[in-house]
Amino acid sequence: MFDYVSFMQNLSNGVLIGGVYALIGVGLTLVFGVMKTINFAHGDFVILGMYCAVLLNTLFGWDPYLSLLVAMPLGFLTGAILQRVVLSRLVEAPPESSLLVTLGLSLVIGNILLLTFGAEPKSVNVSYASSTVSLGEVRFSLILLLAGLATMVVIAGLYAVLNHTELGRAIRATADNRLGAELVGTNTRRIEAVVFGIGMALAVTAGVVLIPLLFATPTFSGAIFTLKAFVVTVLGGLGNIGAAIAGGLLLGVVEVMGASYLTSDYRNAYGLLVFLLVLLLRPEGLFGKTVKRV
Amino acid sequence: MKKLIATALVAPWLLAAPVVLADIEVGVINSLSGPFAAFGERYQAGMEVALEEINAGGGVRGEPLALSVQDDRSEATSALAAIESLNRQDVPLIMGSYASSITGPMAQLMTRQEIPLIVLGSADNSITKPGSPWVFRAKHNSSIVAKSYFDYFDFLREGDDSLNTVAMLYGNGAWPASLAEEGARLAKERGYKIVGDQSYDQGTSDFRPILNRFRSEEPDLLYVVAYAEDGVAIARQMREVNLNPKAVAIDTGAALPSFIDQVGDLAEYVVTVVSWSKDVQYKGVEDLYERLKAKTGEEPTFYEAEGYLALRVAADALERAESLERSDVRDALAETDLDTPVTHVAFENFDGFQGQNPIRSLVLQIQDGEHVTVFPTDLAAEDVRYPTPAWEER
Amino acid sequence: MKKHYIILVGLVLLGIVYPQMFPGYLSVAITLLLYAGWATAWDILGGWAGQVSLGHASFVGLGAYFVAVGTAHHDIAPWWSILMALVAAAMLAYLWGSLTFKLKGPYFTLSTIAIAEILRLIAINEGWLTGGATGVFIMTLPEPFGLDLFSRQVNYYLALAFAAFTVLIVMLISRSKFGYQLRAVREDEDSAMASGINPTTVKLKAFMISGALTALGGGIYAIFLSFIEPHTIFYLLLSVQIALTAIIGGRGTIWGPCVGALLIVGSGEIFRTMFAEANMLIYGLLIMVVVMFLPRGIVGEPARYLLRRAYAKRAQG
Repeated sequence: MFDYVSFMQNLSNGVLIGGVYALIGVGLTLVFGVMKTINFAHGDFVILGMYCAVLLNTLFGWDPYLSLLVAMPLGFLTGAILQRVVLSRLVEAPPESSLLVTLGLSLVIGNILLLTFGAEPKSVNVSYASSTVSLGEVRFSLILLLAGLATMVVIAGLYAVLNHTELGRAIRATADNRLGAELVGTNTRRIEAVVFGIGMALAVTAGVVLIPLLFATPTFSGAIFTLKAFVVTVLGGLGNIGAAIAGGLLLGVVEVMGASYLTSDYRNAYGLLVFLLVLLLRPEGLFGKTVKRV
Repeated sequence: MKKLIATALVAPWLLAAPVVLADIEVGVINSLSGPFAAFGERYQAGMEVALEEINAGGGVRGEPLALSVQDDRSEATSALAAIESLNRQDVPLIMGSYASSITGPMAQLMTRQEIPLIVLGSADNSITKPGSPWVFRAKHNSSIVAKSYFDYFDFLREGDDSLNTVAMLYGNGAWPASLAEEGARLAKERGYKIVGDQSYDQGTSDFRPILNRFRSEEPDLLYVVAYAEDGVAIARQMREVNLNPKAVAIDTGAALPSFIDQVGDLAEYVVTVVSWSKDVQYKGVEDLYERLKAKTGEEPTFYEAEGYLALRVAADALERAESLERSDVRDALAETDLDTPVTHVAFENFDGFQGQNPIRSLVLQIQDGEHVTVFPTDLAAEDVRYPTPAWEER
Repeated sequence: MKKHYIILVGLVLLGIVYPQMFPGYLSVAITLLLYAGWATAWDILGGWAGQVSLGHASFVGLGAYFVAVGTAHHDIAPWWSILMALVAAAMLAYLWGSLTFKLKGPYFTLSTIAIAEILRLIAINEGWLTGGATGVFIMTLPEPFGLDLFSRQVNYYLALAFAAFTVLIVMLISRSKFGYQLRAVREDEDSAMASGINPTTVKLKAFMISGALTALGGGIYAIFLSFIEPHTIFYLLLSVQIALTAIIGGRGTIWGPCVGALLIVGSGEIFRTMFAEANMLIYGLLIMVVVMFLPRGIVGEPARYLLRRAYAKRAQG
């Protein structure tokens, strides 16, 4: 017999987890769209955000959401500086160099965290960690709902910046046609630093939002987040902000439904299979524009 | 160029060689960097406490004992290189390491090179089954731990004959998988019905789909094997999905003090099996607790205790050995009959195991925010609280 | 070109006497030789054909598992199981490549990660095939000609033969028609196609050779460890390390991957003993520094400089 309630329960869980994935993926998508750089340290940026929340919580007892006030600007600055000092040097280098340097960066970040905070997993225990909101017989996790809300706010904000500001126009111009943007007087070097800063700020935000939900480990979970972010961005279409949400939701639903109705030990494989299928059949992503890619 | 390569290869060894040689040095291969460093640090602290105790008591064979510690970077190849490095220093025995993926290859190589190995952390059955005459483990293994859980379940069933169904949830690492395998075997043997059997890959700690599946099966017992962060997530999400078994066992994750900090009230009634606890009825246990706590500045766990235990066993064997020749040290280890505040140690061959201490594991229950030993009854500090009330009734 | 053969023979001779000179340093040397071989094999696809794979741990795992499961569960001698592994690896590479070679650049790289992760989950979950998450012990091995395959010396010479064989294959490829086709495809697939080369066939061949050689090393690795677990052997980080070794040394050069192995394994060992907890941090910094200042690798960068100077001289007459 088909259990309608538990189906709705699983579907809604999938959507909520998907919201978290979308938040992890959106920064990577933006950076790729503008700089054509695959950032392997993205997951470690997420972890940096988690530790930022942990630190502010232990020092001042701040709620994780409050620490966004510090984490976001700090993430933006660090990202911009990293782009200026490290990535901008690689413009002339072979195409995979940025991928490699971010791999190295990921090791460096993870191990600096290991040396400062120790290897013990850290988290912030909020009082609402296992609270639920009920809608009929279906229960929603409060922290997942909050995370979903944060995703919507962040992506709406990003959308507004990209479409309704001068800076957004310059960013989009650089993404569409770098040379063209330079010809009309855009400082693309500055734009790239800003974009990488925004990308890192988004990753850090994801980390802060995730801390009531997940533990921060210095060297372990970075790669997992990076992989999820890749899957989300490719599903939606690399470089397409709005589609990152769709990619995240799709990944969340596929994983949760697979784990619920097939077998949970292949949970991560379900997402990867869909990822491969999309990559092979519709390389521009499910929601990307049909253009030939380089 | 070739000379340069040779020099480049050898120079670090000369640099790294210890300047002052202590009189008796034992080798340690431990995960001090990489993903297992969290555990490595704890073992290290335990060994240091044992070292201070041993040297304060006059050392070994009248001479001070020292540790020659090598990092294995949480990977097997580095551990094998470390064995060679310690072999050149002629250490009488080596202790190590945490993960079975590292300890397994170590046991193989050391058996062939005839160097005694005292297992530090790895609890996988495969290390001592079939084992070798050179490998010794004072701590528990998967069989012993799984048996402790099912002995405890049997004990509960004596008072409540409606206990019948069990659901299992475990990570896909070597330790969770082998504990689940043993658990499934015992469940069949002792007439429990397995109504759920799900493993998971480490990732984003979302167990809701699995727990929802379990809820429709209404298991009496929940048998979980998960590391720290996943254990916390499972405890929280059990309440979220309103899963109400009569007894909940969470191995590894629930044994750490941080579990109680993170999960708070939801941690009550959860049980977990460990090799040592601060309230177990062994002699000298309070004193050891105080010293471990002073060393780390934190609430000590069974990890520190196991590090302490390994070095105590090593020192005891070195003291009794006819000489510091490795074969003599091995013979002395095989004859071990040692009482420590952690447990009693005697290495035996049984049930296909070799060089394994048949340690009595303890079942701890979280009661009023504390880990309390509740089983086996003769070592228990408090009575078991059973059954676990449903979430709405708390 | 002759020069390269002389260097290879010299290094092999040096390698042959090494165990007599440093009998207590064999494990590091075996690790180094395995990485040198893997990185060289990776470079056939990653450097010469220009397709960066981050999934080569799958081939290491394939070779290792054929040997381990072969001896432990089916009583098959390791030389037969290695042969089977080579065939299986070439077949896997063929399927894998046919599926993903239409993807370019970073998209191809991402697909290799995805496939390798799926294979890792299969190795963990399908216990009937692999022995499952708890791993496989190799307890006994046959003794061909009275040789103890477990002994460090024998492991060492196997690893040396593997590394030398792989380098030799790359030398042969680099001067063959196939080698020129590879480079043509790497530089520009459209122009390669215009001159009558089928890029997909060329890349498939490169992937099959690369995968089979990696599996060969994987078989030796299994004997060296004599206990393998799917988590550590199908590990993403192993794929990453193999690729980094080749890239740091210099992609698409004969000696680059070997120099990379010397640097990465050698420095890893030095850092392990000297810097304790900080060793991975320094390793990460080293990778960043090399990529930033020698983007074509330690061998690649000077080689490019020399090549450019030679062209400049010729151009000047």
